Amino acid sequence: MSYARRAWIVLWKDALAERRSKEALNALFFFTLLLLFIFQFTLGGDRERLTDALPGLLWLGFVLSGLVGLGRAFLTERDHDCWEGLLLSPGDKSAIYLGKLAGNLLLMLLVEAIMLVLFGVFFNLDVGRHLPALAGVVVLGTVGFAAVGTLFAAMTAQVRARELLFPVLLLPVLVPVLLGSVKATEAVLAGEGLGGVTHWLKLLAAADAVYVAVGVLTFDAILEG
Amino acid sequence: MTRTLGWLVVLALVAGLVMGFLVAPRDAAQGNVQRIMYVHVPSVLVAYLAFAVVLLASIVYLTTRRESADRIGHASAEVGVLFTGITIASGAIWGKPTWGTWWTWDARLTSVAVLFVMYLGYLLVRGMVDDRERAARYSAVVGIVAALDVPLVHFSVYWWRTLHQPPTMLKPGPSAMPGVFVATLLVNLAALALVYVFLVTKRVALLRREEEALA
Amino acid sequence: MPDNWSFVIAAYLLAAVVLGAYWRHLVKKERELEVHDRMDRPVQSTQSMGGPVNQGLPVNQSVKGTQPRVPGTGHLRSEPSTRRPLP
Repeated sequence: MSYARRAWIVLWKDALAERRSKEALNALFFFTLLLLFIFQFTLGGDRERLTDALPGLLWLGFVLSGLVGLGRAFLTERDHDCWEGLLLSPGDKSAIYLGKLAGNLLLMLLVEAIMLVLFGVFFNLDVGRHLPALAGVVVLGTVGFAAVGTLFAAMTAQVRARELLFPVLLLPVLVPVLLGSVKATEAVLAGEGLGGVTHWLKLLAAADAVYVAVGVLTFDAILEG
Repeated sequence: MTRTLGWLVVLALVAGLVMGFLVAPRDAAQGNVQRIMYVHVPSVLVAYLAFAVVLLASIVYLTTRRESADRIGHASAEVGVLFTGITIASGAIWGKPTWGTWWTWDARLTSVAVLFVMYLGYLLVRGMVDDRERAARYSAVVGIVAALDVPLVHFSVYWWRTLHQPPTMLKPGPSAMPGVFVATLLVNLAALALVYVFLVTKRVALLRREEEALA
Repeated sequence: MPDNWSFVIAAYLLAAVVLGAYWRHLVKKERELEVHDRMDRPVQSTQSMGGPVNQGLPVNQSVKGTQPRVPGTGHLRSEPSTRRPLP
């Protein structure tokens, strides 16, 4: 069975399971809604302060929901004792990584799209006007997030204090992605376009490349035994 | 062998202190507070050295599964975290009289703080994964990811701080460096590097003994 | 610019304390392991020696001071963290 096919099967299995249960999507949707309420209550009084903080709040929302979503990434494998299945699958295990990465990426992008719509509605943000550039930035940032997130989620899935270890490992590593994404989003939402932030975009692209490469190269070592 | 190394360390530290307090002149702009730099700057450089060693050891471990590589990575990460802590603390102690505040989100302090938390995570993995072999594999991966992240953190934090702020506010060290300052820095750097080698050697030996005791 | 020597001393002291404490911690752990190793060796050799075990444990005496020795085993009570099951 070819490498690409194996990755595709992992993705398909997860997508199918998700589509049937909608468990993660529903939970994340409500989580997103709650976040919006909290942002409004804590910062909404001052209109201008809120507008200034919007790019940061947007990514804060992405990060928090991403943490919840990624934290559950290997839940099925853990709860239903499917690790052996993964371990015994033939060939390069990095195909599993890419399949999982694609699945997590799609889920996160979906949630982020929903969050963008909600932000547009609740905070009167004209998302449509800047959509292409905004979409580009969001995808770049989310790929990096999902790449390290999937790797660390697999690592911590069977560790004692998973809920603590996962964010503690993930968040410092993601600082560059977070900074780059917020800065680029700021520029886009301010109407400046992407021209002035090409260095940030290059940094995001470099980070994405590094994280995916490390994930592909080390996933074998994470899974074995 | 460790005895000679130990005495060498003492010698180097004394030399560093002599240079730092007796030979190096009082800085014209900052006064004697500037002398903290002889602890702060070598510490951060040794920390980077330590984490580079962790990177190499991690790669070697994942490719060869040699336990010695695992022990070196573990020990180097511990000592590296120590030096990173010293960097942050000495930076803050320098910052209080100089900038009037213990902490500021300037580029250097922020990236070192991120570095600190990243490698604390490495040590956390070591502490929380019970199976020794799994802990070795996992922390090796963390060690590689963290090290590759260092330049990314550096650039992102630096750009985040500098593009809207005048650069003069951001350089914690002396801006123009006359020879004697550089010499003092180098001597102290050599001294702290030797301390690093000494501590890592001892820690690796201890790790090996601990494993033998459990075997 | 005032000289703030107290800050300078604080920074140097901090570095010294952190590194020194770590080194002391390593030395202490090493000593504990050494005691352990020597505690086990006499047990293993009693089978062949057949003699009383209470003698010949100078290391234990210096470290454990006046702790009572359990007759016949030569083992002193050690802290749980360093205790190991007998082979």
